[in-house]
Amino acid sequence: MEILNIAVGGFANVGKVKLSLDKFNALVALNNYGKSNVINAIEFGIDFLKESIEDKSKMMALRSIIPINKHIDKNPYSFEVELLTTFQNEDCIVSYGYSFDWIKNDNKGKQIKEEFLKIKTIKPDSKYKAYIKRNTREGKYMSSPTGRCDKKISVKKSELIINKLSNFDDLFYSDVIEKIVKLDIVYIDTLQHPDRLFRQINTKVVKTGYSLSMPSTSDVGYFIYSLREKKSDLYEIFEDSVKSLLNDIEDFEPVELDFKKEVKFDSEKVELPLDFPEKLYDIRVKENNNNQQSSINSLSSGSQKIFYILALTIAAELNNVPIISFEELENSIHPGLLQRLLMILDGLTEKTKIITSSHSPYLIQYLDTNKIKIGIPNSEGLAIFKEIRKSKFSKVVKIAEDEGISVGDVIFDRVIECSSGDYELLNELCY
Amino acid sequence: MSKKVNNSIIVVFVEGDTEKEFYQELINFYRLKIPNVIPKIKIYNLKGIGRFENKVASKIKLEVLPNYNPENIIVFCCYDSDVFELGKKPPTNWNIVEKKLKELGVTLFYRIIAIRMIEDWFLVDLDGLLSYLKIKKAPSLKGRNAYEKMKALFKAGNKIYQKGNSSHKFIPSLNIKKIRDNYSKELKTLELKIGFKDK
Repeated sequence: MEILNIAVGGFANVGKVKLSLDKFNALVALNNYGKSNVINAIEFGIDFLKESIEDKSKMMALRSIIPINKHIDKNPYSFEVELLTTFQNEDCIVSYGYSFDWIKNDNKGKQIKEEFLKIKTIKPDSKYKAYIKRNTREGKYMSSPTGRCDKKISVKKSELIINKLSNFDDLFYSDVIEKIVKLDIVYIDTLQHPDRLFRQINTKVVKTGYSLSMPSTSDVGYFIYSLREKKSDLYEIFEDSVKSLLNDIEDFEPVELDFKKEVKFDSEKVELPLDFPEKLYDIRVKENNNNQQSSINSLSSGSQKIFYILALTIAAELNNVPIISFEELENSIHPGLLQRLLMILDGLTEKTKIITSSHSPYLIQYLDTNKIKIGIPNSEGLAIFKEIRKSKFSKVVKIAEDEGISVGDVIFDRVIECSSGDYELLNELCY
Repeated sequence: MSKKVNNSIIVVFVEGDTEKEFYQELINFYRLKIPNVIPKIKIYNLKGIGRFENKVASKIKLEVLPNYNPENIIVFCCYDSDVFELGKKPPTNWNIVEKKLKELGVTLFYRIIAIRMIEDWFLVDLDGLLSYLKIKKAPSLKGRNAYEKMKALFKAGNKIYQKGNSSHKFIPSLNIKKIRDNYSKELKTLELKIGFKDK
């Protein structure tokens, strides 16, 4: 399964943003402009699909994300996704979406307004067929392959039809529904301090063995150790990738420290129904010029982040996560490493797509011009992201060549010009 | 007081570590085959984050011209005909490079263009790549271009191929003669200037 397009709106200062996704996608804008809001809006929309009716109701009243910008304060939250997947042994495009009203005065709002599921084959003349249709008055779904989307279904105000249908085992498109409900996005926070990444003991969830499921931030060390134990070929790729990026590292090895093995009390039972593991995961590192090994914590924050980024990218690909999002992928990473990092991320991922916000012309210069979404400064304070028109690519290249700078520099230059009121060129280049 | 020598120099510009290693091996191959003294050859790797058009002119101006007369400087620029999808945008405009060098008086300007990409050249010696990667049998090399095929090949060897990066030292494993024989047409001018004659 692959996500082709995703659109969100009515979230914080995001009016409406549609992203046609390629392998790498970048959101470029000035500070405090709404890049993170776009990524958060996508995460919110995907999380909303998984929550219970009660939690959905709470999400429709989350204070920090309800739009208060006067230009969109009446807009509902909207989420739409287009997937490429197989259905009835054919490659199909699945389009699913919903919208809801945020909480309003007098306890109004908090209601799903619209929901739809449409499927078509990838054949050029194929047309969408509706499987779910819903408005504020009623909801309908298709109940049999020979029927139409006309079977009524009763749902609560904050319940999605797709969640209700996921309990219908014999529905002929239940696998499509499952794929939508289980959609996932991994957010890789490259802005946080790396001290929280390694040498942590996870005391929240008991893990009795090694696991390659998507790790939480503090479980990265555990994931890397598990990778070595369970998937040696992928671990080798991880090792090769880290060493390619960090030339100073001669070698490294994940280690597991089991505290319970270190101390035994006579009164402790030998046979326990559950022996709570208390293990700490570190990565021992030998740097070229050091006379001895040290902990990963002794590396620079940028180097630790590279371990983190690569491990989580491998985890996302292993767990079929369709989107990874990075907050400023370039953070703490030398500009000379960015192209190599992109090539490695490209090599590590097959169908997982990457969205990053960025303040770096150095990073942007390596990406496809048509996959860069530019935040256009505007007097309304909205996050409006536009793409460069295909017909203007050659003009952007010409400007870059004439000025002896990169396409990344041209884009940032024009955004800066635009922020001081000179909209002309950026408006001409983008749509 | 100028200390310029009257000898020629061949300056080869490449766009990455792997290409530098490859051309270095190629020149070593020529050296072994040519009984006479060959001209001095300097390979410049244009890696980095800035624009290469200015960098080429700057290298010639600051590092070559102080020692050689412009008419004795023979420049070869080696690049792919295809634009690499994760490459710098815009890609290097070699016409601008040629123009800038002309302004410096350097007119002997030649291009070695790898049609599509240099990875097509590397894949000529698949056995050498398999040996470096310690793979016994070549996997099915699917991919829309040679870069994608190299990626698939390296992944079978539990490595990530990185275009232009020297982290993987596979160039010494390649049969340079085999690659040279396959692309002798592209290398013809370089060989002529070096004095290499294929027997």
